[in-house]
Amino acid sequence: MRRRVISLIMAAATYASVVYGSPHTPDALDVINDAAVKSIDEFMARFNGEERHPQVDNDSLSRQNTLFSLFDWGDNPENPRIDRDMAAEFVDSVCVMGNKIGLDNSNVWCEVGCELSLGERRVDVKIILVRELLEGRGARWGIVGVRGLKASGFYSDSLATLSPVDHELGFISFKDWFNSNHRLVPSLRGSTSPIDQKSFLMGMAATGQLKYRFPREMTLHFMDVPGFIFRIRRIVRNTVNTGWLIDSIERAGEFNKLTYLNTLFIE
Amino acid sequence: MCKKLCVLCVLCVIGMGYCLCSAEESGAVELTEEQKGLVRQRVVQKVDEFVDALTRMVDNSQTHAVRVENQKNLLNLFIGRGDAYDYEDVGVGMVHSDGVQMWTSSVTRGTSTPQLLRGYIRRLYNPAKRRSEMSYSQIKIKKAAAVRVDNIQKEGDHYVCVAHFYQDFYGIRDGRVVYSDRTGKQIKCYITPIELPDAGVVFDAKLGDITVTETQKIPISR
Repeated sequence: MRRRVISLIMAAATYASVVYGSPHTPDALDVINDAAVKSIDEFMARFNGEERHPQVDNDSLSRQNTLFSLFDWGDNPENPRIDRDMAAEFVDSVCVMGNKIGLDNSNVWCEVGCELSLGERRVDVKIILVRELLEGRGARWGIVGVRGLKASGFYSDSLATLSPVDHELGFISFKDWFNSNHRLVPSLRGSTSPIDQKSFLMGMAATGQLKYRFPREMTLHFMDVPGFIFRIRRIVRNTVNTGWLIDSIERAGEFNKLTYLNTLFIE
Repeated sequence: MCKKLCVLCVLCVIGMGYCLCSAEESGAVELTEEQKGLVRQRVVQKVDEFVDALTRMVDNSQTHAVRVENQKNLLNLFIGRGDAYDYEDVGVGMVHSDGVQMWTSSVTRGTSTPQLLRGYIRRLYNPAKRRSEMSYSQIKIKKAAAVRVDNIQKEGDHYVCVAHFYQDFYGIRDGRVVYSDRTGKQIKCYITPIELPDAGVVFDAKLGDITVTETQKIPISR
């Protein structure tokens, strides 16, 4: 049964490209645009069984079929990007889960790749955000982590030598470090005090030197489905398998979820 | 007995007062499903007005006055009329925006680039030059597919939501379509409830930043 369900969706996914060829006529684009998961809200609605994929029949299998349609199956139906058996297990797990997924809980993490600039220099960073509810103010997104400053060369793990006798001189060498070697200041930290990239980025941005240019890509990581972690991204493709789709699933117990989460924050 | 009743009444009044104060402090209250439906209708109407005004503004067959009028109407649909504006964030005070941002893309360029809406609109039709600054003798823009409205959320003393729609663009030179695409767009919308004496609560909608989700090629008919 599972195989039949998946192959139905796979057939649907390739339907538009096979039938209409490329580029598509406006009428064919209407079919694709209707099927596309245009927003994360639409993804949630289809995932939670509140809406269904327009090419999925309204029958006893519509929930499962719609869930299968939310995977990024790739461009080649013979060699799908997602393991079919794992996808089937995942769909089973979601169907018995009972509760709905949503952004307003702590098990969804948003990762935005952005290009920033410092003078002429371009800096690629990943900003990690979570949704939170503030008393009396409703929902907001908050930045909880940053990755990429180290790879961009803003600081290194090396430790500079702040002279062991500087305490006798009131740390007079700070003038040299801060004013003539400012790029090395992060290397003055204690060996057991790692740099918090979020604070580092916010500090630089607050001085007005670091400018935002544009977002590159956005990924949402979900840890709500028992036994799984999954990730969604916007996939742009000229078939009905397009829009916000699950581009990765992993089997994961609670401990693995914690490890996964750490990888979001640590470079 | 009478004394107990009085105490109970006083407690009830205090309780109701507290509830009202809490609702007021928290800004806008959550919308009902019926109200969300009204918000959706209002946003769809605004997006339609936006695309209609855009269509008329780029239409060569319209007079200069009509095109300028549509440009003005179009900008009036946006927060701050597309210009720089300030707004109050209850958490931090006044926040400045340089103006409504617009992302554009093309099938050849692939990536989206940001610019201010006013600049983009002026590129499509520059009233001073009485023509478009794009390299086409004629431009056609029309809405494709229905508008979808998502994410109706409370934000301080107002509501926000996101409208998704598709727009077809045709660049014509010497009477021939030389470029055409369909672009998926998202517009942030600001919704303010207004209490009217006779009509009850109505929802005013202003459009905000626009991003591009995808650009699809449309075949050029010869």
